[in-house]
Amino acid sequence: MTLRDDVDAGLAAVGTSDGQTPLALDKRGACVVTVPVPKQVVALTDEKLLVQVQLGPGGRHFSLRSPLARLRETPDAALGEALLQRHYYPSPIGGLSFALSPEDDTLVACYHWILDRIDVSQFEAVFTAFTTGIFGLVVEIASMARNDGSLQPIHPDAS
Amino acid sequence: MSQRLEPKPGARRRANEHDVIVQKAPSQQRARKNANAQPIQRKAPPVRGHAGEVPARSWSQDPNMQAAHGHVQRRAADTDLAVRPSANDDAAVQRSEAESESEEKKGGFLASVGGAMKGLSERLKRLAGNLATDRFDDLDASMYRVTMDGGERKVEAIARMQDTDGTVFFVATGLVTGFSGERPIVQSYQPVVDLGDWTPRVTHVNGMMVTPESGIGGATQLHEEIASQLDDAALAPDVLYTYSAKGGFFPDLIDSAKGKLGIDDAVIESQEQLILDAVRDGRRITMSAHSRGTIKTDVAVRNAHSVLREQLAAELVNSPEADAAAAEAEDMARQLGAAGQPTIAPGLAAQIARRGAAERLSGQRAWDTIEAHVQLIYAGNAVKFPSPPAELVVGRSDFVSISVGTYFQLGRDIKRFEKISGGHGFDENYAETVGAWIAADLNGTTL
Repeated sequence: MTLRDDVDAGLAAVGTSDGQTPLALDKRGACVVTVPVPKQVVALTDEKLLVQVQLGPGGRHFSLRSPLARLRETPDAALGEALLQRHYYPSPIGGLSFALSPEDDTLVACYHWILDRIDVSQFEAVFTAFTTGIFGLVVEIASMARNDGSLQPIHPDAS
Repeated sequence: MSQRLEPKPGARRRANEHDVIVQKAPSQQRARKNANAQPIQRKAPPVRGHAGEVPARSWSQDPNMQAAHGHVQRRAADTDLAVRPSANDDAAVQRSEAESESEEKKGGFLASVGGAMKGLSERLKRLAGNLATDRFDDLDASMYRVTMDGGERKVEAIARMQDTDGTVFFVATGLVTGFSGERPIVQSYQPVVDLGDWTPRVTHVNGMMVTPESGIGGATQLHEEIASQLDDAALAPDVLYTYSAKGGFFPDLIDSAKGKLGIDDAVIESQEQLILDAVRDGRRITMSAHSRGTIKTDVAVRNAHSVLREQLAAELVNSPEADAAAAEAEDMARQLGAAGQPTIAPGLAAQIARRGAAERLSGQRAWDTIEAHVQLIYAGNAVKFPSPPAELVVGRSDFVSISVGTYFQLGRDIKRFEKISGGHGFDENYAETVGAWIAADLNGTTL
């Protein structure tokens, strides 16, 4: 058993049980899951949250990511500083972190799993906590974007 | 933070030479949660590094307490304004700008360059001087109370304590009689004085690279300004001042190299605890912060918000709103699955929506609760995205707020924003406005 096997088992457990193809990592070690979120929880674009599960190079780690905003321009240092300060303490941001994709300058919420193994119940718990944690972040990012033109939030109406 | 000031349970029980009995005036008898509680022997709180300190019994001499509190002796760098000009530095910048402008009017471009160079030189000299403020690190998060006593204003070193039953109280550990090398000279009280039911109504925390003398001076001026704005000056509440020590740029780097991970900031924790104390006691408190102190206070507010949100969320997870969100999410997941989209199981979608709805509700209520109990004033704001309850006052030529903080109101999700004339220094630019806002809050009005 490898970490990839563990993640696939976890994905199968969180995935739909309505006879559809079970969720699993693809050849590139990725799986994008659509989470339905009603407006009374938070106003997301299309009432959906996309969560990417990505196995890291070498298969020793995996990450959960969800896009929060695109950067229209190079952000000023104060924005970067504010984001870094925000996740110095875990509680206000649900224990998640911010990261910037080097591929397309997308600001994402992320959580890296750094142990060699994860069981199904742990995966379910991490996935649930990650998804719930995002709700607060999208609100925060939408608020930041109203005050910083460099941010183009994925969920601009979140409040 | 409370842990920093509180003895470990084991240490509290251990009877030794460090124990002292707290003096209690009859008028200061606090109502205890446990009416049958026996008089408690309390250890003296740490009186760390005050000039003129009486080397008597104190927690700071207890090896256990030193180990417990050791992290505050050398503080690692914050993501703060360490590389930015200080309040004093900003004053120099403003002066140099004014000089430049004046020179420009008089002598054109070359004169303006000369003026700018002169200002820069002054700024560098001040910066070099400020780098030595790490010598006050041992006073970080130390608290002082500015109070009136027989018509005279006095400053006492105080500490927040907690009884074995969890009751929070404050003790005065000494009287500030003057300053030596910009450090307060504290004439220690033996025994320390229990302040009874006293709780802070107004607090203040300074910005970066401010000496204790300057910071205490600022708090004293704030006290005066509040009194001057009230119909009856005698009713001006005490000001609890928390000294935020911070070394200059190089000490910060050194501390950073030592590693900051896992080390919380004592001032942030102190501010957070003051907020939570007020909320739990059902009191109102004003928290005034200046410059870098606004960053620490804002982090503290967000941390306090998280604590309250988590407490409230547990009560709301079975609320009608959470039920409705769960039911709708379940349906949506079924529809997505039927459409062949990679989604999660309906039951899990319901669980996530239920938690999310509870946290949204609790988050809103937590902000409402904080706003009801805390007046939050940021002067010379250095926070890029301030918390919703924040009231900001910004100087039109405040270098810090222009460069790093909130300088424009447009789109701000905050309670109040006001620009005034002047620069970054607290005493000369902000104390009057902050005092007026606090006085209005005390009168139950808003300016």
